[in-house]
Amino acid sequence: MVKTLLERLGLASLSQAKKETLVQMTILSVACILSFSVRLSSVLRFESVIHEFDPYFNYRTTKQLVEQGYYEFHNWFDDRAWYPLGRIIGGTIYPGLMVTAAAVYNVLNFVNVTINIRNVCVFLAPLFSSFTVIVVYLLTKEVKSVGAGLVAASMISIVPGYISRSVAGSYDNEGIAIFCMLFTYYTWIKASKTGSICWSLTCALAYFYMVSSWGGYVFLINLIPLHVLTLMVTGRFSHRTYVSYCIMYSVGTILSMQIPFVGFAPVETSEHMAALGVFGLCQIYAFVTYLRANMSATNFNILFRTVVTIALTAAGLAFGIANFLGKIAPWTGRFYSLLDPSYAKNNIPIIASVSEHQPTTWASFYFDLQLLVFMFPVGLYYCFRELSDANIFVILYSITSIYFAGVMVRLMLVLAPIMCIMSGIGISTTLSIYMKNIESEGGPAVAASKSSKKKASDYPIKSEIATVIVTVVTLFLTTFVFHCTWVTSEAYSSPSIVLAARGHDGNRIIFDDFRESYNWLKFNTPENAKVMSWWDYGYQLTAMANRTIIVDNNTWNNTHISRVGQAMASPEDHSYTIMKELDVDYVLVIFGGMSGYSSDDINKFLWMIRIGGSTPEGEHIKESDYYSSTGEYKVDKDASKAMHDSLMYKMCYYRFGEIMTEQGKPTGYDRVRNQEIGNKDFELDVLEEAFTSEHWIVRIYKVKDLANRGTT
Amino acid sequence: KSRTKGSQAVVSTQSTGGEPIREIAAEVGLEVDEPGTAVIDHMNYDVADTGNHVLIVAGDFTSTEVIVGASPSPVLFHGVGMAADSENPLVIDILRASDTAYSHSPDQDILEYPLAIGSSLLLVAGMQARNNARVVVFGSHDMLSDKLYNAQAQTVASTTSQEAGNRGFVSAVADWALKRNGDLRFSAIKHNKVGEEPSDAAYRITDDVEYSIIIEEMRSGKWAPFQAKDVQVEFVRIDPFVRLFLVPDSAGNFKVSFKVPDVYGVFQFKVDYDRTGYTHLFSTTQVSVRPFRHTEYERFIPSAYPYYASAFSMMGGVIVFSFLFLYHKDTKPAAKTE
Repeated sequence: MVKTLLERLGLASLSQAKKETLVQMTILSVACILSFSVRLSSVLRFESVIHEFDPYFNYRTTKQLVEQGYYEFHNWFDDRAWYPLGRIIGGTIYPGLMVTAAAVYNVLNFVNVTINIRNVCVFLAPLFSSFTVIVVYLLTKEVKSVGAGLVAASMISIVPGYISRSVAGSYDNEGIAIFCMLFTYYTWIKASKTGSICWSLTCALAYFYMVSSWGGYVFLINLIPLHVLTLMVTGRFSHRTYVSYCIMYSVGTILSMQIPFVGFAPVETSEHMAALGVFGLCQIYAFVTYLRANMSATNFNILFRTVVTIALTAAGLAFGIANFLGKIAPWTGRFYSLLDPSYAKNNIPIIASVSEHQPTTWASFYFDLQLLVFMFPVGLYYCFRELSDANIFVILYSITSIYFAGVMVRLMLVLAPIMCIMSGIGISTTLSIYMKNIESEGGPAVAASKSSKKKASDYPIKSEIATVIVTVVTLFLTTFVFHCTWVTSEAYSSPSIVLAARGHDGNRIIFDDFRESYNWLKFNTPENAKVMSWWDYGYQLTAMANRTIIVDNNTWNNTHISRVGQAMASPEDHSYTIMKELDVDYVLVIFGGMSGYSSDDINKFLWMIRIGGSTPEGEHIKESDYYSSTGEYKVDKDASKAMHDSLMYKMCYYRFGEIMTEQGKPTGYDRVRNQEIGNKDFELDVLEEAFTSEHWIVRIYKVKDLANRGTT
Repeated sequence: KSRTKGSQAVVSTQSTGGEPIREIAAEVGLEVDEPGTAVIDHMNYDVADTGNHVLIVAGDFTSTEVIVGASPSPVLFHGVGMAADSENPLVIDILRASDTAYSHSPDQDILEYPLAIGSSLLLVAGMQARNNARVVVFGSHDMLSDKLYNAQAQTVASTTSQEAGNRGFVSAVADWALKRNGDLRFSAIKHNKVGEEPSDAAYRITDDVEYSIIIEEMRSGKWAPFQAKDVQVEFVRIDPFVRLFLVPDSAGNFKVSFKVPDVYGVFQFKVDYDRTGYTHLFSTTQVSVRPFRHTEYERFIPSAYPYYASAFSMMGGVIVFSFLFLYHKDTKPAAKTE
């Protein structure tokens, strides 16, 4: 049938190689198109909006970049965020994403494709996921074979672990960073295979792009040295590796230091020391090899021992002194929490409070990777069978990323591509082994030639076993496709700025409270009003309401966030002094008790208490005070006095006691906590209600002035 | 926020004062003692007193000159006493009773503790609200009457009599209450880099800036330049980073210049002048202070010359080395190692 099709298209005359290329190109382009279109469900279901929180900030900065030009963007001091500290945007972000989007925008507009910047931002991640498909193909091809590459490419195009961060509208660093990372790996494998300066420089440039777009580059700059080190230990270190690593490291490091946010980190912080150490080790290794070739064995041994002893002592001493003097920056909290999952929970509430920094559950491994979880070991096995420099690299990549993905949910993203590559290798190898066995029955000519070669591996019902295995694999692959499509459309296509729920009669109800309230703020409050909210909503507030905010999602100043936490957790009069100190005009809270929206501020309140209590000013805030006498976190009448008195409680439940939320339940019944609130009848002294959105999800309060006539 | 919106009121009451007056007084943080009571002072009553010791001579004025005028003489008072709400920070004690006075009904035995005694017992009190509206409550109609205006005041203890200060005191207090005195206003706030015109652009850290504000004072019903030495401007970002006295010129233009601190952020020029008897002047002007732009850093730092030298010598060295390496022929070709 394929033959007739080819004949009809006039392609039958093509040579075998050309036909193969055609098939490869077709598969690859279908995978690219698929990866782009599968990510559009969110646009189809809702609209072309930016999702979540961080993307709003990226969108805002991109707009600035497009409107004001690069230098204004680079020097941008944002006085709308972190009032009154302000934030130097240019020096505290990875600009790769914005620059990429702006470049796409400018190029398109230059060729008279008039597309607005928001749409560029919305569709950038799907676009880059298409590029990722190609890179995965190339990478797997380098490691294994074209067939494996095609399987891996098809898988990466729909794997949910990657889709979760790259659907249309999810305009975040990770959207392009995964492409950058895999491209760097590809160029690195190319470079280390060929030892060519050209590939090494390409690798350095790709690394630069990666550094400019995501903080996850630290993984990359540790993995490549690890690869080199492993090659050294296994005796595979060659001149090719030496040339490629030395060039990649030196050029890449110098380039990476051009990003203001990275600055001197590559030569100062512990995260980057491994790369530097391996660079030094390369020189020593090469030198030792050179000496050994030119000296007698005994002389060499004596020299070697003395030098090693002296060098180790000196290095240990130097490291100790530098550490003691604080020259080597202490490892950052995020890094510690990578090594020890419980570190953040015990020490840094601000890191632990972010849900994507939580350890991954087994269920989410299966949910995000499905079949890949099982095919991964198969691929790993085949990689070990034919060990090569490139194979060692992917093995290292897979093992390290499995560990990191287990520590932090967010890093599932790093794991997904290698899972695809490994499974691609596994499936492709399995299939190509057993496909041959099926063929042996159908084509007698082929069978004859094969059977003579492989007599030893012959066994009964060979073809039947092969058929079963191929069928099973096909079945698995089909379910994989269904699973991926389902996960994508159900779980990962919600913009979270617009919420959807099912009503009693099965109708879809859209909650558009966020945009409603941000617009209210935009049109009803003075231009320079300061809005206080928990940091989660900071980026959205500045981007959509265009108002000054106290804290936002760039959680760089713990004290400042803690101050807001204290304001939320303290009784009204105490909060008032904090709010006056920060010149707050409006306070915004997210409340789900009416609509059943569970990630609201009352559920985040424990983190506010913890973060608020973590600084000296917040000593009066103790977590235990907010639990009921039985040690539970409650909002009903068992809740503690501190809980009832806190500003957060009052803002969320103000006038809520008058409302019937569910049939057959008393008034003031919180649908998230499933409790009847304990304090129904109270007044606010220092605040007045300014706005409550349709489903009560967003409530905005105005901070009152002091009473005109003193105390009355 | 800055200027007066409310209106002024002058209220007087008496021992027989009704409930509405008491309520008005309560609104402004004063509690008028119950009907039938009077301020009694057995030591400092006037010689003209009829026997209950309720016509008293009071001289414990507030020290604020702008309210009571310069050196007021003791006044005659016959009326009801008041106590200030201790929670209310806005009440001004204009005239306090002497230490020996108390407030009680003159014809009843004292069984309970009086509302107030001594200097916590107020005879005339005022309040300036947060919107700068002023209210004064006199505890006596009589002290505003022609009779006491023209009377002679002499306490029983003293031998000399002098003219009662009622006329001067009352008109001074009324002038203050009706904002013919002690009212302040500001205008023409200007801030700019030294030597430049004001602009909307943000300041840069370590810029030299000038700040000026014109403040005028209402003096006897006419606006005149304000001439105080204690007006301060603060440069605030949560905490004040700079706090300086403003220097007035003859036209009431207060001016100061200073260097912006080496800290970026959103700052406010804040003038917060709160003196008893004067309008509360409060003005904030928000400005952003940005860090250096990438072109504003020093390009060549003397202390970095060794590094420049080392970089260039390294480059030179590499060129020389490559040249030698490429064009130098070894005598023995066998020595080549790869």
